[in-house]
Amino acid sequence: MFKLEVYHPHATEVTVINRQSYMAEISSLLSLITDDNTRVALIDQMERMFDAAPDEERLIQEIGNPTKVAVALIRYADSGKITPAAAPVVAPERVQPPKKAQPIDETKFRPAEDVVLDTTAAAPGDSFAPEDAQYQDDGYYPEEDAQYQDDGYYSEEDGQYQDDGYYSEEDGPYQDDGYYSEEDAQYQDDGYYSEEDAQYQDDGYYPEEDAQYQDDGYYSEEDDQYQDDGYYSEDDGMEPNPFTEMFDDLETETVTKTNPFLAILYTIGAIIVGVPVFAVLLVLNLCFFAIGVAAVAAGVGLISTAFIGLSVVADMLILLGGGASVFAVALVLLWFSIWFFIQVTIGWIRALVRLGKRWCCKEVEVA
Amino acid sequence: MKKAWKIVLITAVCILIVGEIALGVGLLTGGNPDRIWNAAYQYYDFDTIFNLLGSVTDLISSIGL
Repeated sequence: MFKLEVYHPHATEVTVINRQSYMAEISSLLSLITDDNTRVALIDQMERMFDAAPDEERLIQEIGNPTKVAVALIRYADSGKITPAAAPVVAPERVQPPKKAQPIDETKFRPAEDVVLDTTAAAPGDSFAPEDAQYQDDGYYPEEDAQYQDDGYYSEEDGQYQDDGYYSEEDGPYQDDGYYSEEDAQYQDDGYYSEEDAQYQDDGYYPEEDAQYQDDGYYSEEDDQYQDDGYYSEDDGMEPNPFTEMFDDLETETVTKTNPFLAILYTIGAIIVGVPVFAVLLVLNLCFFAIGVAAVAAGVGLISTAFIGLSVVADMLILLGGGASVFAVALVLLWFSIWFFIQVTIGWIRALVRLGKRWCCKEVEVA
Repeated sequence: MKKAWKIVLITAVCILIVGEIALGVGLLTGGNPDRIWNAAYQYYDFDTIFNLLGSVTDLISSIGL
């Protein structure tokens, strides 16, 4: 017979129940054992134990509540100490009637010698507290079993730390009484800005001597550290790369060499082709400029005529309106002529020069 | 250059709108272009102006352009 080792720290708390109720409880709890043979064997053992006990109530008190016993039996079965082969298989037709009471060996029913009867709170770990026995797993979680009832609201009583909205001095080493303690501050702010603290004294004016760059309103190419020559240079804007610095010594210098024959040939061709085109563009530009100037003159003339020799206001308004319209068109024409000169005429010359450099000049690597 | 174009065009459009409004108001309030012509340009000698333009044209053609 297996030795039943259970903890029953609160043996006196076991309610007085009879054998039938006890066995019914054990049977229902042992239903967790999937193996029928093992389950039947354990129930049969319990029955025989009750049959052999002279006092069933005392036996119940000795072994403890049925939930504890059932858990111990389940663990015993899971541990493999009792196997279906080792357990006597009791077929329904072989169920024996209850045996007569026989003198029992109390040592078999008493807890093991090494079992510690801890009457204090249940031991941690594998100990099974009596409070747990109140939990009946019927597939549903009954709210009455819960020690903590979640009513949807956080109750301060549930928490160990009660947040009363105020920072309690007991909670932390830093005591915040809501006031800023000057003693805590290393920098004492007396509310006034001390000029001695300021390294830069702002007198409200911008001293020109502080400025390293003086803006005279004109764009000077000398001010630019980076001069855009229209060519993309790989060296622009790149930070020194330590990886590439290893290969600096291996880089070869490039020198621009001009082919004189090609240069002369290109210059002759550029003059033959470029100069007529340049002349045409220049004439066009001058025409636009002349038209613009004439329109400005007409507009100014119309506006000035409005105030000379006319007595009717309506006629003056007509002249003023007409003069303003002509002046607006003249403004656009003038600007177009300026734009045409810069972008087209000068641009043609720059294009010729760029093309010549590309055809006649080559970059040669010099080791 | 794009910004300059924007400024010029916006300015021209504004002047044009003002001029057209003034022109329309003048015409609506009874202005007569014939009266303007007789009153303002009667002192101009158009023959002299045309002669001047002719001499300028002769000068350009003598250069060879």
